Amino acid sequence: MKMLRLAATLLTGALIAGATPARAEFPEGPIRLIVPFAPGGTTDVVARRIAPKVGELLGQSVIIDNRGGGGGSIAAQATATAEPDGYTLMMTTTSHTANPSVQMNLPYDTLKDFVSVALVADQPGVIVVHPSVPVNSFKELMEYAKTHKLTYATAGPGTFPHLGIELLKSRAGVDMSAIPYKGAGPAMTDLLAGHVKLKLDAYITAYSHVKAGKLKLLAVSSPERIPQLPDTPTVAELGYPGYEVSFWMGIVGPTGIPEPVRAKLEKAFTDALTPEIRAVLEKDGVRPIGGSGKDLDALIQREIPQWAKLVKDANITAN
Amino acid sequence: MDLFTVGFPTAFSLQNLAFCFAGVFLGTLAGALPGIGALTAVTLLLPITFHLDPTAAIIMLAGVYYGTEYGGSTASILLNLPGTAANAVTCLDGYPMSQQGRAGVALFVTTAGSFVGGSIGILVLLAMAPLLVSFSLAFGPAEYFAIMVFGLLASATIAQGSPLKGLGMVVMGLLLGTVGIDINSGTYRFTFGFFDLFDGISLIVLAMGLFGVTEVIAAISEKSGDRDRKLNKVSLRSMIPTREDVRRSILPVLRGSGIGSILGPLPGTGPTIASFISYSIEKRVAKDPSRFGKGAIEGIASPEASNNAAGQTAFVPTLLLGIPGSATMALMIGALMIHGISPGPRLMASHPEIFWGLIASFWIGNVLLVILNIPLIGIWVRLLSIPANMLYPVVVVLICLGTYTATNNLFDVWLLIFFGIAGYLMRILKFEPAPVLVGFILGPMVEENLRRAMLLADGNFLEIVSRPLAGSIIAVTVIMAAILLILSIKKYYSGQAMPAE
Repeated sequence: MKMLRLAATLLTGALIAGATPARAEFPEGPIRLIVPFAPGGTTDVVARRIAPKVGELLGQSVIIDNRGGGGGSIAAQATATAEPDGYTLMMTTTSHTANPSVQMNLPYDTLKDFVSVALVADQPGVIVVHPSVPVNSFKELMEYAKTHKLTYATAGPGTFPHLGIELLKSRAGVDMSAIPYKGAGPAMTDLLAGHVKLKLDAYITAYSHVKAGKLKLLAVSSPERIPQLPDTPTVAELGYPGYEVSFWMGIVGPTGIPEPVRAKLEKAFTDALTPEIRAVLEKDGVRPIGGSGKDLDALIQREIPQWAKLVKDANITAN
Repeated sequence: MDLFTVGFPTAFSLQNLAFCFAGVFLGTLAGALPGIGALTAVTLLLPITFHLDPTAAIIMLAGVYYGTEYGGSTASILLNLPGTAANAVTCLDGYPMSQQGRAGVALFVTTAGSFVGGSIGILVLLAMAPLLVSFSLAFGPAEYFAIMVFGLLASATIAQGSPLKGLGMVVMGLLLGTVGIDINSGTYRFTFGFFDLFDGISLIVLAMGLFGVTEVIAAISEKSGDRDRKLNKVSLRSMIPTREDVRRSILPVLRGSGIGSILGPLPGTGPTIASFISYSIEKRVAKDPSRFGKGAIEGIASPEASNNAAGQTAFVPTLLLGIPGSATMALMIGALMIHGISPGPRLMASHPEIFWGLIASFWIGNVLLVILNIPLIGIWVRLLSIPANMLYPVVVVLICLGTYTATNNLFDVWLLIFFGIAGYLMRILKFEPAPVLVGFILGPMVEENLRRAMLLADGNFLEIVSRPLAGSIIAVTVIMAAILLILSIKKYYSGQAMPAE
């Protein structure tokens, strides 16, 4: 195995050397990894966890550049217009595929202006309700929603907690009214107090409240059950096959990065998920994936039309 | 009690003591330097904490946070430049005091008031942590809407000079607050096609532009010199307040501490609003409100006590619910999450050394801050008594740097310069910047919470008013508005024109 890996590395090295004979080997300088959020959030934490390892594998440092705002579109624009030399990359998330439908007049083309490098990780979503809602399972919740008025909290229009529940509504044919908040934090406050009744939340932030008995956890939104909650069913297995929403994190760069450079980056980002780093990420409530650029491409191409249809059907934007 | 068995031993370890000192020292420095506030300082220090033990990391960042509120009043009083947004209201009476040669007394009173406010805040935090948690949970959208309308009305009384101009400035603030994406409909408002305005105008940009940049422009155009002479006068002796000063400060400090302790845990309110509300309440209860704005000691004692009390109690929702009340608090949560610790209801049980160690460190930090700000005040004054031609370029650089590091967006720096020039024009035309800031902060909260409350109540406004807490606050607001109206009509008919100052 080790020999194989060594051979593969040598071969890739030879290929790169062969492809760009006139230039020194990539990378010659530090790599900038743009994170579309302020420091401290999950995406930022994941980026900072893997950056040192990726840097070590590439022999250069990887610098995190936090560019929050515009639901990730400010960071995406900075990436799309950067020199396609592999020195500027972005750690992008679910909002990347939702923005084309939710935000009008994006100054870039989500499909044409980016090239996928790697699918790093995702964060499983969980459906939680306030204890005052008299249901104890997801099935009961769906029954209850058919006859009662239910409200759910979003982190703003077009965010993951919003789209995930809208997708559920359209699949299950139930109605719930969206109550928008500026971010997941204030939304959680009102959910804990029972002002709103339901939320699709990240496992890591919901879990301590569930343990404390402040929220009831009914189902997970990922395609498979998650190791931390082996007894909690997925929405998909409860009668809605194909239902899948997760808060994923992937690496993209501007279109035009030479393929050998992209491949080298892909390998570094997938190899960076060593058993130690995987363990650390799992402790953060994040599921390491280590997928290729192809995996990320498939995900992006599946999600863009899914959100577009949903946004159109549910009339999520007003402009 | 865990505070004594776990908290103080943790906080008194040499390492944590050193980081606590580093935090409050850097906090005072950041606060005293105009343009750099708690958010900027914590953002700049966050990457360093990745390499620290989590208790030391949070103790240092918290020290920076409450340290800036001590240091921030220094620049407000001496230069009329608020070190942080929470100290903006201190300019109103602090700077006149310094012009009257009473800068030393003002600095002493704000430091002492901050210490009392901070200490009361810690006591409240300790005694009522579980209670405050449930209280802040009882605050739903309807209650927020009610308290914000109350705050907006209270802010109308802050304005100096023409009430009409004051009202105009509040409306200007409300309009600026609507810029960006509307979270209910997803519509863009007043973005003028600028991609960078989608998230609205940042508070830092507006506050730094209107207060910071404006002050620098004004200082350049004024004949400099007299400003520098006044600065050198702050000696330890000049800080001793008169008996009358002490008598006048006691009640405002206690009232301010109470207001701050209550408002601190409410997400979104925090020290800035606490200081504004305290100021307007002092002005309301004063026998002679006309002294305010001309160096009334109550006008600095109460807000400074209030913002420090709020600064301490703001940790309740952050640590015990995992809900940050402000961007700075979100960074605190981030600093803990980097170490795999998620703040929330279980923090007290799962990481007692962090929770109790932090609270114990608050006390140590507040004592250190008194030492830093009274016997060592000379250092900070000297920092500000640097000749204007050297100080102001540095201040401009710091303001721009602080703005840029908050968002990493150059557009915000241009916007900052725009607001600086606008603020200077407002100053020439005698329009007050403070009401703009209040409208800007409270306006979006009023709208957001009203619309949320209406959604939850199915569009029935009566359901909002009939909630006991929300209803009472609205009733008080209506009564207060009525009294204000009657008073001004009375004044009008008794032949006295509106006080034109």
